[in-house]
Amino acid sequence: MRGAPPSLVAQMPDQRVLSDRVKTAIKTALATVLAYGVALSMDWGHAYWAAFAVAFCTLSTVGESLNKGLLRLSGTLLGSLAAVTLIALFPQDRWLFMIGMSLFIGFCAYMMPGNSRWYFWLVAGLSVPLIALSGGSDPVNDFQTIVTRTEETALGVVSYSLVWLLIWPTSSREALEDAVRQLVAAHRQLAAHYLTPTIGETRDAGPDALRRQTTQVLARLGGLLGGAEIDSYEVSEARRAWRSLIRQLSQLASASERWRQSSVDVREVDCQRPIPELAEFARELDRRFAEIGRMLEGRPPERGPISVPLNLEDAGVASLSPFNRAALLLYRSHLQEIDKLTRDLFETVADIRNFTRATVDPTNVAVPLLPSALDPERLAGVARWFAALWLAWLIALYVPDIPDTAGFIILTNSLSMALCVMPQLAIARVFLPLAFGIAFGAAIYVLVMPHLTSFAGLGAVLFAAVFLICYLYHRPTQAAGKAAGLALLGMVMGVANEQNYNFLGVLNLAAVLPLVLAVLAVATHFPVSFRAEHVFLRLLSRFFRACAYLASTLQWDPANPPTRWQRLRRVLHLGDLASVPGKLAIWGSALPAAALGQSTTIQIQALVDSLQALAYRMQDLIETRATPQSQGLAHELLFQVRAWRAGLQDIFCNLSQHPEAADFADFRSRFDAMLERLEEQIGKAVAGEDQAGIATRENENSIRLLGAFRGVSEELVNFARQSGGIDWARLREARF
Amino acid sequence: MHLIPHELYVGEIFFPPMLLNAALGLVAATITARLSNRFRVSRYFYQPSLVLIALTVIYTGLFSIFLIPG
Repeated sequence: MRGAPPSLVAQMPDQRVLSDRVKTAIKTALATVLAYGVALSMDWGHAYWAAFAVAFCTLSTVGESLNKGLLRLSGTLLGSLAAVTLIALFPQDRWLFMIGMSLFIGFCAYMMPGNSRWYFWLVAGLSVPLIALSGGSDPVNDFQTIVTRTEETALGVVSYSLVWLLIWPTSSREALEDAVRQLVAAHRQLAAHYLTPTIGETRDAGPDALRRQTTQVLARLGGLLGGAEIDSYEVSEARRAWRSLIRQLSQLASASERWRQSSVDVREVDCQRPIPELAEFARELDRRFAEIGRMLEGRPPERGPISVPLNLEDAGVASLSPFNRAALLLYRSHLQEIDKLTRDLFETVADIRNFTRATVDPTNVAVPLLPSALDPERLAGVARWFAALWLAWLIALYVPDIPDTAGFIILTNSLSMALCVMPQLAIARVFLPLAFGIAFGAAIYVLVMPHLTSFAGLGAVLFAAVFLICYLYHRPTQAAGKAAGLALLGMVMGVANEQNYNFLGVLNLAAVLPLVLAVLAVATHFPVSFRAEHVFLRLLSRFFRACAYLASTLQWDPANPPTRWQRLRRVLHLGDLASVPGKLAIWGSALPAAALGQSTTIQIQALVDSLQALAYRMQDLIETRATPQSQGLAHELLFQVRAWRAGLQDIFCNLSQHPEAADFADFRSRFDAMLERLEEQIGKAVAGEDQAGIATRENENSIRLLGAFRGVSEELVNFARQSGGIDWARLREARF
Repeated sequence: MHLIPHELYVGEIFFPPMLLNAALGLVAATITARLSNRFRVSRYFYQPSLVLIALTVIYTGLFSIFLIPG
């Protein structure tokens, strides 16, 4: 069907009769039955382990599912190796064994957040107690467990790969290309919005919806590419180009956002006058996006990118006030960045489609690893896992008559590790799918299974049960619930060739579950609180601390290089500036109604948006400060700029402790007074300068720096406005 | 006071009174916590999570003495 027009695909009978929800449920149910069938015919123990691989690894496309399955398989192998090594090293000492196991799993838990291969580390970590404790006291059993576990996992991966390939196949390559096409179209629309009315583009959606769409699609691209590299030779062959395409799209999204913010500052300026080629640039940008979309559809481009120099017209610039000039220069620098990025994008897509050889520099942008490695939230996640595992271990050792102690420790470890990648998940939300899985599995186990006499009957029951769970938990946000329900269904049913029925086993599992959730609830509060409101306030404070430190670095003298420690702190705080607003958005949406009080989720979202804008403005300020500055202007404006910087630093320090102290009226009046003083000072400085010298790059940089200062201050005022709508007292209030 | 512990039973399943008392204690503590949140009394506690555990222990103790003695 590859290459068929979309309208033809939409008319196919299966597309019309069955929804994606039903199709996915049928495929998962079929793959589960197949996995059980093969495992039972080979007489392997723990047949439900094969079903686990199906339950946890199936995703929307073949490539993505296969990718996750391979990560599961390789994670199982690493975990098995670690388990065998630990058993061999500490066969008789449970404390040393536990310390060794904690070190290994702790490393796995630490590696999970922010890692595209997080599932590999999750499976490696959860496999160790599973293999070490399932085998009982005899080490020979442990080896047998490893063999069985690996076989069953591979069987599960093969089963669902076969089903996914043969029944309603969805190619990862097509999904990837569709996503990139969507993203390019969204950027084209956004550019039209920002440059309106210079180009007469019809718009399908509002800019807010388009920005949300770009963020969502960008977040999916990494996973789609991972899948497409596995199930498509064409993508695998051009994987470097595809990776750089995704990086460029991500940079374009960020540059586009900064451009949007700077366009607000020039709304009072008629940009056509000082930048006469702006209309031509808008048309060229639109054509460029259209050509990129055309190439992604497989058609050759009609023309390549044309250079449109965004030269400034002296008379137009001279008529502007100093701050409007500063805003215009900043706006133009963002347009130039967009120009470069879209040109690179064009060449990379042309390279992927084999129309031309890319001339884009293939060197990777160096992303500093340190901020991510020392992220306090990441370390807090490991602390939560550690507290949960050791609490479960100590309860299992010292509290008598805890049922199924091995299952208790294994489940606690698995769930607390999973919380490292989705720390905002409320424990209470996991309870319902887990309880449903146990109750549903118990009903089948007690009422239906004793009446079955053949695999045909068992297969039909399994199919119906798995179909029902997949159908009920079909949304992407319910993936954890679906996996938990399917896993407990398999564990409770305990299908085997020589089937035994033991109701005590079901009751034990049902008794262990509340214990596991209780341990996780304790670990959510101690040693580090993971309540949404606590994390939200913690991150807010961290964001402003980073801003305060970065504002202090603006006084660094280029002639006096900073010490290594200062550079290290700067890198860490720059990392916070880039990552904290995204985390705040996640935690902001997880805030409970009791913590919101009088404020609404929309107000919280607006507050987070203002922080994201402030982060971009700070980045602009820091980048502009690093460019060579005019000595003349710097000398004239030294005291005013120093006072401005010190004022900003002071405000940031205060906000890091009391974000509620942001007073809109106070900020506005201080900012307006500062602008007025500076405008006067700049007027004097420019009047004293040689007019030919005004146009030098250093002078441009100095004016841009003032524009960047103004941008930061404007966003601070905006934050104060949004902050006024937040019920800070309720957000800070202690609550059960 | 007799020293022989007694057990509760449902059908043929025997269990200690402490289990029932602890379950009731947890339920009572949760209800108290919900009411404290509802009427904003919880803001006067320094660490509500610890208070919840303490309340569970207190209720369990009270039930063990007055409601279902062991």
